[in-house]
Amino acid sequence: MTVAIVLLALLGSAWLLAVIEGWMATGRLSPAAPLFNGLAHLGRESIVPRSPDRVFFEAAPVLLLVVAVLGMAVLPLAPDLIIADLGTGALFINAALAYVLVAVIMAGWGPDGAYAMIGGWRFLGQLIAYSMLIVMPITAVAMRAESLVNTAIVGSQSSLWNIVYQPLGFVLFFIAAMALAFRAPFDLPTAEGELGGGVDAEYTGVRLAVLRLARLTLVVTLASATTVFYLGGWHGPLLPPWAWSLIKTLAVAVSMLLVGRYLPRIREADLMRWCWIMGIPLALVNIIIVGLLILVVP
Amino acid sequence: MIEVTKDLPRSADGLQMDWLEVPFGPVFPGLPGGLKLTLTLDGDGVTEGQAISLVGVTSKGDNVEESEEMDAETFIAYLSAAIPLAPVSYRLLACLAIEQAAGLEDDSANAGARTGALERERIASHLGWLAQLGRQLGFAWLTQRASTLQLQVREANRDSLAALEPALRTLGTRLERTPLLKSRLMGVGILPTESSGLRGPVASAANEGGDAWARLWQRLAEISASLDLIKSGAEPELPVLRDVGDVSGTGEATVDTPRGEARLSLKLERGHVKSYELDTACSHHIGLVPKLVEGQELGDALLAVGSLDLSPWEVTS
Repeated sequence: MTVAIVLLALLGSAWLLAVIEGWMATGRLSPAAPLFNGLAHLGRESIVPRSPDRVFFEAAPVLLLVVAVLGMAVLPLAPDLIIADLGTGALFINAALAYVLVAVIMAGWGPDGAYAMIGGWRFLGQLIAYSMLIVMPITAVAMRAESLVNTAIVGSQSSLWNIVYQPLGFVLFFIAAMALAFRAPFDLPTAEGELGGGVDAEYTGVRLAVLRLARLTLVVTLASATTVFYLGGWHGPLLPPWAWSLIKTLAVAVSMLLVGRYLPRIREADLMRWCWIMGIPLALVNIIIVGLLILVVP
Repeated sequence: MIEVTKDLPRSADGLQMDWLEVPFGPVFPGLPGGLKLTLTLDGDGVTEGQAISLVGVTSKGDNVEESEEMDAETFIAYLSAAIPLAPVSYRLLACLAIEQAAGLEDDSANAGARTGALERERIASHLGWLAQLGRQLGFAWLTQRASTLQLQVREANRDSLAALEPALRTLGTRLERTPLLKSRLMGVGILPTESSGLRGPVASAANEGGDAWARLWQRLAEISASLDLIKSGAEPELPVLRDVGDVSGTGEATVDTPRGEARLSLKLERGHVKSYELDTACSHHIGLVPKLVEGQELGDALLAVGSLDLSPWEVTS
C-alpha cells in the first residue's frame, strides 16, 4: 500500500510540475496537456538512429526513471509513509543519484550522435562540479540528526528547520540538486541552443516520453530530498503530515523551474571553478559551523 | 592505447583525440534558419569552423535579359521579399537607388515617415536578435519577453511605440541586473577595431570591447536611439516609390540597416532594372566566423556567431 501511495504521489507531482512548466512556457494553464503530450509521444514513430549502441540507447531512459524512483523510496512523506526507512537512508540517496550520471552518459553514447555524445560528456564534467556539494551538505544534516536515517533527520528538525539552522548548506544543496537534475541554468547536457537537445536529441516516441517523465521525476525526488533535509519534512500545522511534505516538495520543485527561467545557462568551466573554489570551502565552513553549534547549543 | 591514438590529431592540451566535423544548421535552435555552420570539434572545443548561407540573395544582376528585366516596383518587391528579416530597410534601399537613377531630388516630405519605418524595423530586428540570444543561452524569460515585444513593435504606430517605450527601455536595466549574463558574454567573440569589414552594431561595439557583451549593449543603445528618432519624427510608413516614369539612368543608395550599412547601385533602362549590385553587412560578417570560433568552447563559439546577428538572406552570393 505504501509503495502505491508513494508512487502515486511521485507521478502526481511530476504531472503537476509538467502543468506548471507548460504554463510558464506558454502562459496557458492546461492540466490535460501533459497527458495529451504523453499520448502523442506514444503515438509517434520511435526512431532508432542508424548505428546505436542498442543496450545503452534503450536502457538509459529507463535507468534514469528507476534512479529517480529509487531515490524517492527512502524519502519519507510522513512518519509511517516511506517505502524503506533504511539505516543508511541519507547515504543511499547519494548512491542512487550517482547513477544519474551513468544514465546520462548512456543516453549520450547510445545513439552514436555528436550532439548527444557531447551532452553526455558535458554531464561528466558537471558531476565533478556538483557531486561534493551534494555530499558535504548532507554530512552536516546527518551531523545534527546524529543519524543517517531520513525519518530521524526530519525528526531532528521538529523545533527548528535546517534551512534556518544551516542556511548555507541549504543554498549549496539546492544549487547542486539543480545541477544534478540538469535543469536550467545547469542544462549543459541538453542545451537546446547549443546542442539541439543534447542527450534528448536522438530520442523520439515512447523513449522520449519515458526520458521526459524520468527528468520530471528526478526533479521531484530532489525537491523531496531538499524538503526532508532542510524544510522539516512533514512538520507543519493543521494539515496532515503527507500534505505538508507534498506542498513543500512542489514548492521546491517549482522554485527550481523558476530560477532556471530567469538565468542564462552557465559556462561549464565557470560552474566547475565556482563549485571548487567557492562551493567546497563554503560547504566545509557549513560543516564547521554546524559542528560548533552542536557542541555549543544543547 | 598508443596504437589507438597514434594517427589522431593532437589537441591544444596535447591529447590525441578523434575530431568530429559537426553541422549546426541550416535548421538549428540556436542559429538563424538558413545558416549552416560546420564546426570541427575536439571534445567540447572548436578547432575550426566555417559558415555558409543556403538562402542568400544574389549580389549582382548583370545585363539582365530582356525577358527577366523587372520594372521598378517589381524589383522593390523582389528585394524586400528576398530579405525577410529586414524587408523595410531593403525596400527603402531599392526606392532610394531607383529614385536617384530617375534623377529625383531627396523627398523631404516622405523622409520622416521612411526614417520612422526604418527605425521601427531596427527595434524589431534587435528584439528578434535578443530572443535568439535567449534561445542560445537557455534564458527563457528573455526569449519570451523579447519575442512578445518584437511582435508588438513590428506594426506599431507612434502612439503604440510610445506606450511600449517604458518596457523597451527597462529591458536593458533588467538585463544588466541578470546574474551570470555578463560573465557569460564578456570576452566571447572578441573582434578588435582593426578587423576588416565590420559594419553596424558589430563595428560600433568593436570600440567598446568588441565582445558579445558589447554587441548586446550596442543593440540596446540603438533601440533607445531609434525610439528617440521615432518620437521626434513622423508617423512610420512603409516606403513607397515615387513616380519615376520610363526613365533611364544609374543610381546608388546606402541605408543603415539593423545589421549595418547596405549599398545598392543599379542601372535603369526605360523604367526597368537592367543591372544591380548589392553589398550587405552580413556578406562581410560571415567571413569573420572562422577566426571567431577557432579555439573556443562550443557554447562560446555559437554565442560568438550568434552575436554577429547574421541574416543568411543578407549574405550575397
